[in-house]
Amino acid sequence: MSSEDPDFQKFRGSLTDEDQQVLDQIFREQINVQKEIIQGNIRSDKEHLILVNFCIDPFKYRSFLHNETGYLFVRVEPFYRLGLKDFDIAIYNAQSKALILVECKSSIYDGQKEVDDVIKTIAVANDNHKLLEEIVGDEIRLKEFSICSKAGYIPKLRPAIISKNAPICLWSADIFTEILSLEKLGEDTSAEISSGRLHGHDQLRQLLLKGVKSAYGPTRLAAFLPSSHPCTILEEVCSILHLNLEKSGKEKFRFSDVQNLLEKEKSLWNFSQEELWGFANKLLSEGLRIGVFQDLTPNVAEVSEKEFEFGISHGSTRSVINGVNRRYMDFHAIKKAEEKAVDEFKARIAKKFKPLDEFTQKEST
Amino acid sequence: MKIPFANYSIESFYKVLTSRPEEYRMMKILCLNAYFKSWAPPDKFLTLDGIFRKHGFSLRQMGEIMELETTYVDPETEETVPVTYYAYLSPEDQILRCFTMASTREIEKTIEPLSVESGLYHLWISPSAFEQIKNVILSERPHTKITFFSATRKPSMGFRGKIRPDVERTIMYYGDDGKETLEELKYYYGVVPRTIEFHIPGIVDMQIAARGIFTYLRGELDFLLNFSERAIEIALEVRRILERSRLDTVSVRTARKELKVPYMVPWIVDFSQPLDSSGCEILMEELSKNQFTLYNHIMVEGSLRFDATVVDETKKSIFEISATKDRMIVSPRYETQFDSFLRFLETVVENFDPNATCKGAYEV
Repeated sequence: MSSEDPDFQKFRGSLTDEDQQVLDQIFREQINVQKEIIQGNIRSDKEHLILVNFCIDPFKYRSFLHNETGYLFVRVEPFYRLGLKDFDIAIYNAQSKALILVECKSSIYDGQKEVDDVIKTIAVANDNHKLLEEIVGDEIRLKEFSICSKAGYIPKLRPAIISKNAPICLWSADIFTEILSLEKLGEDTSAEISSGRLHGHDQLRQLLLKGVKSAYGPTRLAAFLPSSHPCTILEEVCSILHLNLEKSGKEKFRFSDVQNLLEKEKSLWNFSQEELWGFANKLLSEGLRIGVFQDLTPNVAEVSEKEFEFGISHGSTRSVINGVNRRYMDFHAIKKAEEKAVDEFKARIAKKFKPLDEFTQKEST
Repeated sequence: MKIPFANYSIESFYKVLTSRPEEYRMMKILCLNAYFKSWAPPDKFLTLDGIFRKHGFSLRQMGEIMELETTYVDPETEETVPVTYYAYLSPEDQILRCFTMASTREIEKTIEPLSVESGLYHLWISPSAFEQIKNVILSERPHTKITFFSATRKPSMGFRGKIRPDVERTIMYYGDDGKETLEELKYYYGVVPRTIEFHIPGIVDMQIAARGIFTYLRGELDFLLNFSERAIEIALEVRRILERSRLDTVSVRTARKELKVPYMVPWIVDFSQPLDSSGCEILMEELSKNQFTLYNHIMVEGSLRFDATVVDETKKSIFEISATKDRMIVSPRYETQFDSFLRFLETVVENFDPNATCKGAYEV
């Protein structure tokens, strides 16, 4: 695996043969390091997805809490179109006109920081009340906010919410016993409801305080989120795109094929056409950048008029998925490794010449 | 096997068979699960008729019976052998019953490859259904002998025998004490029966294979025809569960909008033994060998949690799985029909956990 980046090659070309070997060695080591980092990021993202699906589960259509309380999972990432820090899930009760926005945290190192981040996102939600009303197509009388985290992290979040007096309900997810519950952060229920740390809806509050166990275990409703790792999204979308093309006996596809496919994705239900367009465009651009897709009409400017095909082996869905993964890893690991290798090389040189600098300084004094 | 050309109902076809049973010794009834209720509904793009023609069969309508003809080249003699099936598609249970004198090899080379087609899959008799069928015969006809059986074991199966459990084995047994021997070999060698031959004194000799094939050997053909219906009914319980699984779009009205939300009914595999991370690796490997591709997967250890997207490379469908140590929830996503789920369940049961059972998720 080698670098083709002109800047990197230019820098490399300016070095002596001996230094080039040093740079190449650092570059090779960095590729493995960067791949490991990407894999770690993908894994963290999937852990987050487990938690998101866990939270969605009791609020799905005709699931326990939907039946009992009327609260229904509406969509993921309601502020996607704003490109701002977002909540993961929007749950709406059409009778009481109450909306719950949930942020899922699969790992927590600093409870204070996480709570501060959610407080900022609450401000976004308050600033964009009209947008939320547009999403649910209704007047919203009450907005409530929740952080959901694995049961083990609750002790880190509890004091942070209390100390900040944050209007946040704390949900605890025990993914192994499959119980989702609401934590009571203060003794005075009415005061806690008023301060937004317990849900106002009596039945929802009582059921969640008791703990809700899924009837048969949480399902994976969303295979990805719009903010999921791009490699995961590309794998998920390319597999379906491949099956669609195979079924219709086609090799080439258009932007509309990607858009139509995304419209049917459960992860993107209740997304507007503009949001879907933006998502499809972003996905296609990344696919083209890393070589998963090829642009067959480079002279056509209008994206809707363009034709594309897979730039990877696509004999089977398995080969498509492997191809996406390999291209993503290679492209991003190389790119990052180039930057790191140059930095590391410069740092080593600087260190090498430090004693000389010190000597010069000593002489001048 | 040649049935005179006529306009048959299933009853009159059976009459032809049962009037001269000696001519049909070794006749097999091969059963296929079909998505279809008729051969060529005019409004459908994908038809049963079309699938058979695509695979080189010529079809001739004989009332409710369809004559299916194809050829097979014997690899030893290089001779082209004609192979004929007389098929009846029941609109009630959507089982295609194919009557033939073809050999097992001819069946494997001609009609079984159709199981890859969307909407068609062999009638898989799960180990628990097979046990139930066997027990029905043995309890209702206590003098029945099992005179032959074949049984297999794969090292990937969680259910372990007592003797050298890591050895892959196939046992073929002939003997009048097959009933007892099968139980002993199951216990000691962990094998799962694939074919059983029953000798019901004074009534019938017949074979039942887990791939949904009933073979008439001698005696009352009527008995086999009737009993096969009962066996099909037992085997179909699994399909009925899988068919209830679905993914619908539901419209929910708010003041100014019609929201679109998913309504998903998954199905569940209950494992007979707790699944751990090494078991999960074995399961993934077995699924992969059987043309299922797992991706976007994550395994969280502790008490196990495993999520993945699954592509059925054969049936061209995609679904989601979510497993804990006790069970796996399977949720439809893209073009999933019962046949893909059936193929998945068969792979899990036949290669990993022969005592696993399936059930529907609660519909509320």
